[in-house]
Amino acid sequence: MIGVILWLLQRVSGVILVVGLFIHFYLMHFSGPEQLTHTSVTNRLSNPFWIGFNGIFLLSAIYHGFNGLWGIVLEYVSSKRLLKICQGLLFTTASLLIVTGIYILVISQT
Amino acid sequence: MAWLIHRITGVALTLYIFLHLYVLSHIKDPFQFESLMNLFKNPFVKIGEIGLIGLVIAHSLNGLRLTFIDAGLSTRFQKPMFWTAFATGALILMGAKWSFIGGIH
Repeated sequence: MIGVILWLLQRVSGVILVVGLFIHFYLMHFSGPEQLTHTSVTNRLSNPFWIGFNGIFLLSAIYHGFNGLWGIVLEYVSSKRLLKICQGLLFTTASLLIVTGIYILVISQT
Repeated sequence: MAWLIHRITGVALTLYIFLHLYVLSHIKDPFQFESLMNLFKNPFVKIGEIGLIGLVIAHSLNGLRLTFIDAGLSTRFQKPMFWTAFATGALILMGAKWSFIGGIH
């Protein structure tokens, strides 16, 4: 059951990422260099829409990346002990990245 | 072959999250932030950027293809979809390349 949920979430986060990346690249890289200046980045981050967008984008990207790595680990690692270690490492790293991302969103508000 | 590409690009993109968050962590320091952004003027970084968008396009389009197959689209379309994705991806990459080289990164 848990496997099915992880698989479904992988597909859902994947679709969110395709749409999100399209918006992200269109805005940041194809709409002129002024979009990347510190002023315009912080201005956007004071808008609730972009805070929400970035929050969802962050969670989807990290879930998708780390659940993907977990899938690869499952294929190559057979030892139960090593699997547990990998699971712990991936989970800790992913959590730290999410905390870092949220921290950046929070400090950008002050 | 497609699964190998998907795997390698996936791992590379996950590692890129670290770099991306590192750059963004300078958000409270406008001077540092701008000097990091100025790195994009470096030709080597530009090549890296084009490579990065290449990874994103390859992983996205192949991921969509896998999602269609998982959603029940017949595996008969598996191969044609791979080539359609390949051609679409190449086109987007060419467009993106001009934008990056032209300085509108």
